Amino acid sequence: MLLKIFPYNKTLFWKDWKLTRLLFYLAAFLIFWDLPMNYFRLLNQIELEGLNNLWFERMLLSPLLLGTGSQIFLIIVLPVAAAALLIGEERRRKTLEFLKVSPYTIHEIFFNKILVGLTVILAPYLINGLIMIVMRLAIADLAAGYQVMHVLNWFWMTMTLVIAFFSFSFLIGMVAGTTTVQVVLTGIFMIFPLGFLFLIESNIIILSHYLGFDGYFSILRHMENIAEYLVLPAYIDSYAFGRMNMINQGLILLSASLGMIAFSKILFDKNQMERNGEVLMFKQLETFFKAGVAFCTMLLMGMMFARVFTVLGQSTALELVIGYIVGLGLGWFIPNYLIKVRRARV
Amino acid sequence: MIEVKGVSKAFGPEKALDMVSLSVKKGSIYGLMGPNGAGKTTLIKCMVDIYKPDEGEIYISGQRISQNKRLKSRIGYVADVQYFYPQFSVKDMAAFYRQTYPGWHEERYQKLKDVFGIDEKKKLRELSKGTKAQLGIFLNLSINADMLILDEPTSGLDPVVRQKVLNLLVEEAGANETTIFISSHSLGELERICDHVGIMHKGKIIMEASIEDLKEKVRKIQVAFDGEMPETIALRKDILSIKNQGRVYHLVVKDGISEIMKDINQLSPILLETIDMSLEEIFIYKMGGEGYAFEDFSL
Repeated sequence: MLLKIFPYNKTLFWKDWKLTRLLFYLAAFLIFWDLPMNYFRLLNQIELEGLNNLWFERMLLSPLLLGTGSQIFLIIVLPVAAAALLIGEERRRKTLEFLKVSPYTIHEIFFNKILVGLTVILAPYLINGLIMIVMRLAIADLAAGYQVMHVLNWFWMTMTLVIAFFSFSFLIGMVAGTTTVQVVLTGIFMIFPLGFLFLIESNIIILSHYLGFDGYFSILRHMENIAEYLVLPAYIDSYAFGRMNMINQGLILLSASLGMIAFSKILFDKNQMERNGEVLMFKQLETFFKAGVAFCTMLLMGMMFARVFTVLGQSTALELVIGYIVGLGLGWFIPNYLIKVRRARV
Repeated sequence: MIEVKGVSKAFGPEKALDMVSLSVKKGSIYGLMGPNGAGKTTLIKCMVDIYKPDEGEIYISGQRISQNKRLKSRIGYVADVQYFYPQFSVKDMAAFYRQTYPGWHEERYQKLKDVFGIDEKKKLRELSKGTKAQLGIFLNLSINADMLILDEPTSGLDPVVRQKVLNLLVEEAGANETTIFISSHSLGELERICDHVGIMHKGKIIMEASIEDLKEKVRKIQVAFDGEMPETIALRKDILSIKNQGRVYHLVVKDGISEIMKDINQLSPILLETIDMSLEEIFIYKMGGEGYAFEDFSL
């Protein structure tokens, strides 16, 4: 029964592993460089300069609390790249067609991709986590810096985050027809709820200036508070600053990931192979996509035009309107052009 | 063995397949011809479950192919463009086929590898288009398939390799009773190896017959009269085309050749003989009748 739900297939796993294993090696090395290797370097420094507990603790704990840029970078880039290689690249190169002809069900193809994706994004953390635990148990001096519990917390935080980013990008890969579209849309939608509210708010403030009304809307502030929960990168901050209970936050991320993977499966079943290589996998989304891009670009260009002319000291409502028109035109024309250029032909 | 029943497929407003029906017998070689954009690749992709038809059904060995693992494991498919994983080596690709297809025949693979002379260690991204096509063919010949579906498999191959491939296909159909469905623009090749052909145009099958029937039905008559060709012959509706060089006329006739020969004989021609037509000539005349005529032009 379990095999039926999660049909592991050695050949498909091996095939996808070969496509993504470079990411695994790279991530494992980067984490090793940033954590265990760094601890070795710090231990050498202690031997030379003597132990300063406070400094030592800060240097060792900071990466384990997601306090370094390299950790944050990897948490976002590794899962997005893995999802792009497993879905976007297969669509772009049309190798999904080759798989579809082979004697594998869609179910097997999908779940082995998820399994390989999870292996690639989790194994580097797991291996380095184990190394750090062994190091901590073997080297008494490290006790001044971190405990085994810190490593377990670090693994929980990174695991839940990378799974969430991977599931999110995988879901976007179900509606995107190529690698580039998948990566770009992942980036946009990762911050969309907050970014969109920012655009609305900025434009209301500018409009209130020209039209003479009060531009403060408390509802937008409330919406911003809610939107924070819909923006994945905000969860990195939330972990790092302990804004939410670590276990609860992890469970929220894992539940959301499960939901996104389930939804991805529904969309994958509905994917039509002839649309591989197009901008979007579903024709029904094209108008929504064009209208959405046009509206957002309109707000962005309106805001930019108004700001630029304000700096130049000549701002009038006309610049805002011109910005809106230019943004609307560009925002409609560019996606429309891309969709037409990438359209599948007989 | 293959039954295509009323299959239609559209890409947006463009209808790529329009109520296509055809059947291919077990152990036969079926050639699909048609001009560019006729819908051959779309039909093949529907047959191998890459595309889902909007209408109609496709049965292979009496079963639907969609999500049918057992059936798919017995079908080899060579695409018009080989979409292999560029980071894989030839050896990796062979390993993938070996583990995927239960009918994999190692001895045959080793033999074919030597015949085609492809280096197993080479990465697929290093292979030329022609070499990739060869790889696609010999991997699919190694899986001991009941059926091979080949989309322009010889395009991009040099004449020597092309010859090898055609011989292997004929051998495969003869020795193993493998059903072969092949699309090609090289009508000479199809004529040599196929039992049956179908012509596609604008998403429809406009003609389907065995090569023998086709050649029997459509023939060329070479005739010369003392003077002009009599109108009773020139205006006949069963004559597809009339061309002349001086007093010698070439008539392309569809059906009822004996009747026409009898009528011409009564007019006492100074020359009268029938000439077999090649598949290519039949194709050109047939397509001419469909408004896809070849016209002489110069720049």
